[in-house]
Amino acid sequence: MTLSWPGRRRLGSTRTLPEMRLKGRIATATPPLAVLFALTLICQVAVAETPTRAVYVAQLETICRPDVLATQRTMKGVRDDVRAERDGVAAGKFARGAAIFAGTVDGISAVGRPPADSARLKKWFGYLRLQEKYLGEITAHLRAGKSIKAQRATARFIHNGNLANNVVLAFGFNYCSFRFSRFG
Amino acid sequence: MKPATAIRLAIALLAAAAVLGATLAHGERAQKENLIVSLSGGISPRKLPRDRPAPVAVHLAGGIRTSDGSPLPRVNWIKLELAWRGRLFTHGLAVCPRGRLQSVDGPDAIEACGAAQVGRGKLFAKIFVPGQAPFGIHAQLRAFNGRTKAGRPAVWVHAYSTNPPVSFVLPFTVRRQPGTFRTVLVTTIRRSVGPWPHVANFQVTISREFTYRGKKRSYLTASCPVPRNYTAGFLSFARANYTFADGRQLRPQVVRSCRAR
Repeated sequence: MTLSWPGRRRLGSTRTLPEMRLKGRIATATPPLAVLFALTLICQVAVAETPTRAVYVAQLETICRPDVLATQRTMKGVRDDVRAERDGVAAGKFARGAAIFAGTVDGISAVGRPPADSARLKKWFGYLRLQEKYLGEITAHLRAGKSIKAQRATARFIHNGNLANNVVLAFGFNYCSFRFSRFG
Repeated sequence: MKPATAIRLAIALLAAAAVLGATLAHGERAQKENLIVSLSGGISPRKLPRDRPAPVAVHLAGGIRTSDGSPLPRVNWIKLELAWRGRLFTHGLAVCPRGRLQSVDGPDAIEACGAAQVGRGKLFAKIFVPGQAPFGIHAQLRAFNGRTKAGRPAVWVHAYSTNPPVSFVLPFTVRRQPGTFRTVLVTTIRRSVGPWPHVANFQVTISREFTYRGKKRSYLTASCPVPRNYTAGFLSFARANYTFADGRQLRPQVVRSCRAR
């Protein structure tokens, strides 16, 4: 996607042919080689900057892993809090969990995406933003003591999480996939 | 009922049926390389008392397929973890010795261990015979209450197909563990069962009611322990761990809800 552009910009910057032509026959013989060399470099740079799916997954998993572990620590006991009607405490945990989630989504959305998967990933990030919204809604409803609304937002959060997982099923994510058990 | 209301109701029912159908067909999925596994299931009835256990049935359905249509790898090990906070009650329930299920067909298995039956289901597997094109086989499943040699609770899953006539037993040992998924059922599929392990999909329902000391009992019971201000609860209902012969491991997980009554 956007990663193919730096390569194209570099292609534009290699316009040294007119200068070389002025330097005589040897010089005129070298430009094709130079261009070839430059093109090879460009291709290598483009390949290096356009991650394969495997590289992309590995990059994202390194970002997601610490955040998932932090979420698990933060959300620990939230189920018991809800059961014991400590909605305020649960809301605090959800707020912190939502903040971690938002940070993760920001972090992983900055990573360059494989061009072949850009449409699919765009859809996935759409679902992740919705997840963020639902986490915010759960927090707000718990704070306001609106338990039934919090319950509905939770149902949407779970359903949306499954939809998100289905979009990137082929990526084989572990830490970057949605697991309800990680939220308490 | 007004015609407009009836049409709206019909559309709503159709939509609900479509959503339910889609959920049952796929369930939650996990993929590694070209291998896709799915797990679906739930508890019925969904409406349960908040503070006391009630008899329930647990449904589980799993599927294995490859994204490119290549042959299914052999499953070596299946671990089913259930997070339902219910109880498994076996006091007074007949115990089926595993040996009685060896090399018997479906009716004979019922005759030998019918009193210990705790569930039923079906299975579809791909059979790979050297020098032949693979073919599919449908088998009936029967689950029986059993005990391991060490005295631990177990579930013997007897599979029987009429065409070709084949039967085998999948021994699931039951144990408890701390954490979210408290009840664990594990089976190792031995090489001795031959070409069978290329399981494509299965579905099983575990449920049994019986009488013990004059009281009606259920093999499985559960409650929906949500606070008074909530009407439903969500739980990571089940997790499956499939280990394949090539070392790949996949762990789909299912989240389900219960309604408090």
